[in-house]
Amino acid sequence: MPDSLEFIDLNRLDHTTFRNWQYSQDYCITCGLCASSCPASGIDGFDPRKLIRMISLGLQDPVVESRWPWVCTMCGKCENVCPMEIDIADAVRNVRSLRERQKVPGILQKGLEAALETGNNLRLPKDDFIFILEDVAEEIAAEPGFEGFHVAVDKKGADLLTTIHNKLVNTHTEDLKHWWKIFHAAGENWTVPTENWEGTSWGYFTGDDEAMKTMAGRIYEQMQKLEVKNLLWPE
Amino acid sequence: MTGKTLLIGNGPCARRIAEDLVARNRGILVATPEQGFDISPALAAKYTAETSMEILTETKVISCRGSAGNFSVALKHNGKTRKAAVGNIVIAEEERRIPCFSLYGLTPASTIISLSDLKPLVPEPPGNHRRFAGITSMVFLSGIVEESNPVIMEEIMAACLKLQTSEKLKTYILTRNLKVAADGLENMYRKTKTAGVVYIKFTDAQPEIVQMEDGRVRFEFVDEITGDFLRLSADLTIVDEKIAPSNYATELSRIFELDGDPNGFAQRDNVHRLTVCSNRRGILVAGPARCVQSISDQYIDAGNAVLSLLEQERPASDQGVEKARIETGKCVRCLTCYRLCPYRAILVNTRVAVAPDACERCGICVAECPRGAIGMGQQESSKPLVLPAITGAKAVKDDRLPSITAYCCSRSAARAAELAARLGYSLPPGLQVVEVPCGGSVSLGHILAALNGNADGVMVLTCHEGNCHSEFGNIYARQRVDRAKALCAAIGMESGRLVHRTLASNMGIEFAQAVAEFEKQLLEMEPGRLKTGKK
Amino acid sequence: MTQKTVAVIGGGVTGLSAALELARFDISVDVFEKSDFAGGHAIQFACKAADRCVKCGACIVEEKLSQALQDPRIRILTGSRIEKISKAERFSIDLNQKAEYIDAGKCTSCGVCSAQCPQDGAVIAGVSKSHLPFYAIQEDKCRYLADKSCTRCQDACPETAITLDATATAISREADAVVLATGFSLFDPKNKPYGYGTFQNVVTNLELEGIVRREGCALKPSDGQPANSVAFIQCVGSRDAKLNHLWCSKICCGSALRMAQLIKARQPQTQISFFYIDVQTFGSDFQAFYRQVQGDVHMVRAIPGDIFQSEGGRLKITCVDNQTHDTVQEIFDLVVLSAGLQPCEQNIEVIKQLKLNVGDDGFVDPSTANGGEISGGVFAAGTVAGPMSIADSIASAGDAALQVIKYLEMGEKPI
Repeated sequence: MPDSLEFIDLNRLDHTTFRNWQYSQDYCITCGLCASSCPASGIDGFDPRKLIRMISLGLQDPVVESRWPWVCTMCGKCENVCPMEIDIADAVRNVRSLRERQKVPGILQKGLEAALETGNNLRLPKDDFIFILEDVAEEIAAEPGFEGFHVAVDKKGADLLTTIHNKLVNTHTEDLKHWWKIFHAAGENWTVPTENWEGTSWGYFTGDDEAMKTMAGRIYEQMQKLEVKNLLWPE
Repeated sequence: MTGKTLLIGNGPCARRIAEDLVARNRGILVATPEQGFDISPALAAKYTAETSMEILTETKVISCRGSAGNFSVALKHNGKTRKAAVGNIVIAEEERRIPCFSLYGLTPASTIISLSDLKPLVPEPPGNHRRFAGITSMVFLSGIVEESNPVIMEEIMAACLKLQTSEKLKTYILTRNLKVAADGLENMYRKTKTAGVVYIKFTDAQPEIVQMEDGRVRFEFVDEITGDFLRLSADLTIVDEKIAPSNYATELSRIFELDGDPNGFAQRDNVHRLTVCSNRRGILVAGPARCVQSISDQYIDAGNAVLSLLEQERPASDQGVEKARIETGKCVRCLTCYRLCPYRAILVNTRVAVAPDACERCGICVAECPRGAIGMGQQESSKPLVLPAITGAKAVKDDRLPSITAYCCSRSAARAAELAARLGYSLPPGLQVVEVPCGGSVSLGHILAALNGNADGVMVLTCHEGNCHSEFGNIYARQRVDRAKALCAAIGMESGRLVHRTLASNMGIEFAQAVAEFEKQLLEMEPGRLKTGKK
Repeated sequence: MTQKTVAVIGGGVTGLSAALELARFDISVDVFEKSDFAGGHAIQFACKAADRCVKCGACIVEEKLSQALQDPRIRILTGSRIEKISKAERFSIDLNQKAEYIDAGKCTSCGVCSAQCPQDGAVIAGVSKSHLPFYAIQEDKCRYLADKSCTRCQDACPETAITLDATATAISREADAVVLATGFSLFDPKNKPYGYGTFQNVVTNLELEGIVRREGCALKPSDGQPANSVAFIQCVGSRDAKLNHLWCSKICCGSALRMAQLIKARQPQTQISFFYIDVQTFGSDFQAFYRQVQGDVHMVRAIPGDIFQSEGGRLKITCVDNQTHDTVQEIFDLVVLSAGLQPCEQNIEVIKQLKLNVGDDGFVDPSTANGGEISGGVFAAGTVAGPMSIADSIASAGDAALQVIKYLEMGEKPI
């Protein structure tokens, strides 16, 4: 063994670090089925089996610092084949939750912070939001067969409350039209809240359960406030 | 055949055999080189009250004469020899554990011990920390250089489970292929992992193992799953053990002239010996003396041994069948038969005679006797035992096709011939299958007689090496074919007219292919010039 | 001891071994085998000796069946299913005896029925020379039994041995003791991501045994040609908590590696890969065998994730590369899934009626096997109690036989 390579002291590793994670990672028999099924195997020299073993051994820092838990799409193929029923995707998410929030990759944390502060990922003011919705609604109403179309915001007592993905009021406004037209044709009694309307809950991706709770709680509050019993949350 | 049983051994298997036999009031003589025979107090009471059991401690077997039902065994105790007349013998010696220190480059020390050293230290019930004061990490080495087995792995896992849950120690198991092929072992593996035992598995690489001056051992290796370089230091290192037969068991194998196996076990792993038989009737090998066994395996062996002993009291299944018989007038006491008999069924006294109760009718002696002095039923040295030929269905006799005599062992090739016919393969019309009790009963005389009689070519088809009931019959058969080939070459005859092949009873297509191929080869030759047409 | 009768349920290697041992003591033995052919799974195994015996024990099963058939104290009934077992003083066993479509007394096993039958799988063949008749009609596939639409076998049989109108019979037997030797069921890998049941050239270990036994080498089911590359995937259905199969099936490593060596001996150009988790020990000199087989077989210590079909019926296996952590794809002609041994569901009813305890894993609790007093005349042996090799099954049968004898002797003169 070359002297220059750095050794990890196994004695120092506490493999009870992740003991209270109820994800059965200790049951792993290193069969490799997960790694063989994973579309992300090989990226950064990682695979799900390696990740689970690192967790099992207590290699906390390398596992939290590595990029791979964020490259994983949590598709669940690994869980599907694992003979020991290890919740590998859940474990990946938990690893994500251990990272300092400022080190969360990409725009995920920024968007999440914006949503927690303003109710949406873009920090889009309420008036602007309403303006964009009504603008799109006008375009729909101009189409044959959709005369009279209007978008009901904050409608109390409606049957259905729907959230909005932030990209639909940013770069993909056209995509609002598809499902709004379906509502119209079906005669649906629907509404959009003008506050806390954000559908993407990036706490899910960043492993932030508290944030998820907050976001979900706000939507629930809207339902209560507007007395709407059904929620459509396409996320 | 109701004689006393000589039970040589100690430990769970021997104990159970003894208990069962005493319960049935059978005469039993226990002989062990050890100082005591491990039996229950109840049994000891029986021993003193009745005389159906005699226990000889510090006693070794020196020699044995006789055969099944009638053995005369010489036993030595304290320098004195005594003879015992017994009907049958059971070898039920305990195992011997060989610690693998040197395999790992380690020297035993207070901090480097074997699994057997550890076991008494693991507290039962758990809770005693004193023994392991100052020890945080314990590393178990198992099967890294040489493969291990489930018996060892179960002991290691059981120890780790107790140590990890009760002693607040950190245990690590370094192994190559993790052995889980035993009842409950996969479950135990799971339990040890949840208890916190860390497993490191190696495939091709090995860890670097360094014994430090303070007695600790340092391990350095690459974890095969994560690719990390890891260093592990053990306060206490436990090496695994090879499970071997006791030296005495190996010695007994020699004394009783058993076919031992190369590892020293007293039973060779020939499938015909399953479960506790040896190559000699009346001598059984049970427990760790015959292979690596768990405790539950040993109990099952004990049951099989007792069953076999009871069976030996019954009329033998081949009773009334004629055994080999030496014609005194022709015998010159060359002792060839004595040396060759795989079952040690030849007794040498004033006369050389076959012990009928030990003879298995393999016919090797008949084939080898240079004087043709041994007969066996219809089998004589130049006249083979001929049974109805098995030819393929719808075979048409055609004089242009070669005549083939195939001497087929009854246990393998003859049955394969039947299977081939059953599967619908059409066998060469010129094929005559001659069933023989063992490949070893086919003598050079048989082969030449066939060539001199009706055959353009002769096949000798026997069991696979290691599968012969007589252990060596197939080897002799091959040697005789080789000798015959040399003779053929000497007279300018094609040696391709003779072939030895091995088969098993379930090899139907292979039989058909072998005979078809042989016929094809013979078709390229002229008819055999030694043929006289006599069958 | 007065004349006793023992019922052995299951005519595989365990049942036959137990029957032979008991018969040595002049005990009358009835062996009830539910399938058409005695010998169980073990008799279907091919001999895997290249030039030396590999000690699998498959040939011993042939011997035992042959001996049992010749022993006048043993009666083997194939096609017999247990309907009910109860115990008063003795055991009463009600059986359903399959209709004797083919008269064993007349049949010459010529095979004309099989050749004539238009329905795939309606006439199946045995494997052993001891299987008489060699062919059997399968009730779930036979067209005549479905809608009386076909009588070709009956018409063609040169011995007029076939009666398609034959009916099942109910028979009753009594016994003084019962040995349960009903064996195991092989795991069906159809729900694993390997295309079993869809891709022709994905087979189980047992199916490969059948192919080699019949054909003498590893042929592809798709076209009957020899496979140039073979992949063995181990532990399929074993060591699997998701399936509740938290056990090692013990015999598959040995079985697959010996089979790999045989294939290499018969077809030396074949590329063979062995995908495993942990290789289990077998045989008396495993170390030497293991060293040698690694020269013949490419050993991969990971289990593949997906199998997709490739051209020509070949199969593309996806598996992680232990060095790079990336997945690699490799193409094979034939994929062999080493399917595990699991409890046989069809036998649950019988086990219940015999009041034997079943462990969490579904196998009969070994502590009630060979039980004596505990089980009241019922004894379990062989793989019904858990995965084991042929050698261990024979040993298990022997121990059970002794316990049966002890039980039968209670209150009587000993044997």
